[in-house]
Formats: sequence, structure tokens, C-alpha cells
Amino acid sequence: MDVQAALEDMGDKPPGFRGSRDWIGCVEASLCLEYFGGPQGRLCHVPRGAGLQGELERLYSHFAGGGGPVMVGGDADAQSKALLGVCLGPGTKAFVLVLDPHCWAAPKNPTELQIAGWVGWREVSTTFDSKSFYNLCLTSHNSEKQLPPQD
Amino acid sequence: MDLLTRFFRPLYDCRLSVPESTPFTAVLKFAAEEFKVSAATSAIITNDGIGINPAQTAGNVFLKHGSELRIIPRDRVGRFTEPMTGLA
Repeated sequence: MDVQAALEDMGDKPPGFRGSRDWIGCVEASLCLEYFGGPQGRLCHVPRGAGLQGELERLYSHFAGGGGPVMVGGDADAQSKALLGVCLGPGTKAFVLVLDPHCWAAPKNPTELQIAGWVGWREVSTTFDSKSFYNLCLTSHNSEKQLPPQD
Repeated sequence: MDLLTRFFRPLYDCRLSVPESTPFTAVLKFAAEEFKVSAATSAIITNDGIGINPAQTAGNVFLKHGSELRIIPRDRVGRFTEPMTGLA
């Protein structure tokens, strides 16, 4: 409700949005991060059909430079995901560490989260739908500078 | 004073010239019409990915973010319904 109120108060959503079941996504998240004085959230648009292969180097640099979780939203693929890391394998294989942000339990340890399926490594080519565009919201502390990629 | 703003989308760009007091919601609407997309499901961001709250004047946006902007579709998020299986 705080997020809905903020979006309505800042003028991004019309009156009546508060208490509604209308969709939000990465754009609204980045506006709210700024509104609440949180980490910076930079948006990256991935056109339909492009897939995330073209953004892997950027994601690698983001995480290597100390960047925070990356929120992912789409249209045809509306299943929200948060990326926590990226692994570039040999050849063209690549994997991302995906967290389902709907997790509400208080796990005893990280393994419990993995076993329950809330977090896990997923191959990029099968996790993202080529029929969907995606917006990524890359979070980072406002005072941090991006470090150069480390090989 | 009129502001010249340049909008980018993949493969297209357009230039708009508006008075600086123009509400940015109107600029979004003009740009969306130019690209034949819905303003309600579009958003304006800077070239380096900063989201722009449309509830301010064009002059304010220009001062804070410059005049080269991008229009992107808004995404939506929902429930992840399939159980995930990790590699480990």
C-alpha cells in the first residue's frame, strides 16, 4: 500500500490507484526507490526477441562492481524475478542466479531456500521468453562507483 | 523558451520542441503518439537508465536529465508459478 500511495502521490499513477489491483513493474520500482531514498535503480530495456544474452556483460560488470539485486519484469513473461548473480560458462552457456521475490518464509539456512525452489541457478537461454520484452532495474548504492570488470 | 528533446526507441528517434512549462505528461503523450504506442503503458528514461517521473515540467526534466531521452514500454510483474530447480 505504501508503494501504491507513493506512486499516486508523486503523480505517476492517477487518483484511485491506491487500493487497486493494477499492475506495476520495474519502472514503478525505480521511481519508488528514488521517492523513498533507497538505492539507485537504473533501468535497462531488452527488446522482444533479443533475450538476455546481449546484457550478460553488463550484468557481470554490475555484480562484479558491487551492484545489488536486479529486478526483472516483462510483458508476455510477467513472472517476476530478481537476479542475484551471473555465471558465464565456456562457449555460449550462461547462468543467472534467480530469486523468486514472493518468498515469505523465514528459512533456517540458504539450503532450505534452494530446496524449496525460491532461489537457484537457471540457464539464461531457457529462463527468459523470446516472445517477451524485459525491463531490468539494476540497483546500486548511490555513493558507489562501478568498478571496471575484473577478468 | 522552447526545449528541443530527442527521443530514442530501438531503430527510431524523433525530436520534439516544447515550451519549458509544458507538463511532461504531455511530452510523453506526444512522443508515444509519434512512436504509435500507448502513453499509459510507456515510460521515459534517460540514456543511462534513470526513470523520469512524468509529473513535472519539461523544463525541470531538461535541467535534471538533459534532453536526450528514451521511451520504453512499462513491464508488469506477477507470481512465479513454476518451482525452480537449482543446479546444485
